[in-house]
Amino acid sequence: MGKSVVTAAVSAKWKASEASFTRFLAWIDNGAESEGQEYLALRARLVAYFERKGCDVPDDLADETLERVNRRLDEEGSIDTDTPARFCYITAKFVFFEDLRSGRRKESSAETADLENFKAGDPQNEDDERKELLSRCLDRCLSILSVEERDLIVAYYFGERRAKIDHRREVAAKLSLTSNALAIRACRIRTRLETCIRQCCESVK
Amino acid sequence: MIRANRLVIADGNDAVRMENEEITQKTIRSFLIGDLDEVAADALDERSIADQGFADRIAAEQYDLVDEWVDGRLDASDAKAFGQVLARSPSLAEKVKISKAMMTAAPRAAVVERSSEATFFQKIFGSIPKLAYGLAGVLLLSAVAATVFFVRKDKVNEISRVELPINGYGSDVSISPTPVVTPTEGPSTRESVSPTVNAPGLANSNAKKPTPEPARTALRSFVALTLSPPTRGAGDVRSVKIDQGVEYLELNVQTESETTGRFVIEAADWRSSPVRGRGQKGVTVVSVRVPAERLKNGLVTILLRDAASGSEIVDEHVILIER
Repeated sequence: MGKSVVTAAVSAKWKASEASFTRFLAWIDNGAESEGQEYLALRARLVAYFERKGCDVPDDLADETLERVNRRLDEEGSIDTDTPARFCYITAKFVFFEDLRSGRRKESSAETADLENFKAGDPQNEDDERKELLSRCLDRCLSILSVEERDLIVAYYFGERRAKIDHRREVAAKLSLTSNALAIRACRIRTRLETCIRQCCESVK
Repeated sequence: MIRANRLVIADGNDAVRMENEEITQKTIRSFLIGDLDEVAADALDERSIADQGFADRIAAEQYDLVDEWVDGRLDASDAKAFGQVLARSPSLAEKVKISKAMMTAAPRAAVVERSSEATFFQKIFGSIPKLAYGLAGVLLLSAVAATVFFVRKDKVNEISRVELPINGYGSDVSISPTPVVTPTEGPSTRESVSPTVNAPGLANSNAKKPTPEPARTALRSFVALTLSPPTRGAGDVRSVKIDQGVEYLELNVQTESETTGRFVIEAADWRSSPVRGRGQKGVTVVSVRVPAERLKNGLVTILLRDAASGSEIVDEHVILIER
């Protein structure tokens, strides 16, 4: 609720034009013409940053950050004090602290959270219907992946504890990858799976 | 636990310094469980925004931490610290749920993968050059043609009606996307349909190519699947790919059951009306068409029940539906 008020306040004063957004994309590219890819990648990194900070609405905060930077660039014509990434990071920190102080977060859950609180959201305590939905969406999203991706992610999760670690090592060797490279490849697939599962679960709600 | 209650912007040198250092996995893990001091954490945060490769490393490490937390592989202090991180992050909590679901799904999917791996014989014969197959095919066709010619040479008019023998019992799974003529009753028809001539594995010597009436029929697409011998459980899972536009899965279930009456086939939540089996050389074939839309992707159990008793399961197969 508070978030939308903040956004509305900013939007009321300033709205990105096509020209300003084009200039913003060029500034983020920093000389390399990525055709918007760097913007999307930067946005994803900002979302991850806000997720790590435990924000409830990481996507909104990433957009808020980018909008503020865009606005600053539009108003001042250029930003020479910092690199685009650093300037975005500084802005993101301000946005984060504003969010933290706004009281929108769950009753300072960060201060009081403990394992017991977390367990309340643990799937063990969830109703069967929700688990079933998640399982169905996972199956559906796995089927969307390419065969290679599906094989990799299934292999990555196969086994338990020590067996899983050994299995991952075997998979990495089979694919001629280091463990790190395998983890990063699996991570990218999992990120896509998560997005797909989230959309799937929401579409069923 | 949040350490940063005041805004600290590390000077650019911190990030540069961190960039130039080899940041170890241990450092990243400490960062993710909230165990780094504020300035160091700030530098890593900044680098995670500026450096895609580093952001990937953090994301991968975060997933691994989630997996280890779910698996109970973290030591007590890390588990407690990471539990606190999880508790304040809705998106991480979501990752935990997905991680648990993946751990449940992986063994199931792996069973399917193993079953779809090439068999020993496939591996052996897979190495034979295609030329050899071609030669063998030509020889086989020549032999068939010669046989037909000598046996039927005094019945020339009948040659055009001779049909190639269709494989009998013992054939395994055959999948053939083929245009066929749908029954005039339309897609809701659940009764058995005559096997099409190009559905291998059916011991039906009377199968003849239908001669459709154009005004009453339409070309449709289907996948024919012959299941034999019966398989119980998920140890021998066949996969069926249903391409876009395919409307039916034609199931031909072969059984050695002594029952020669009527059967009911169940596939997922779809159930046929009683269907009479066709007996052939001690084998009974039961055919139905299942609307493809009723079969969701994933493992589907096919049950063949004796319609008379209503509950007796005669055969059971598990197949994997893919699209």
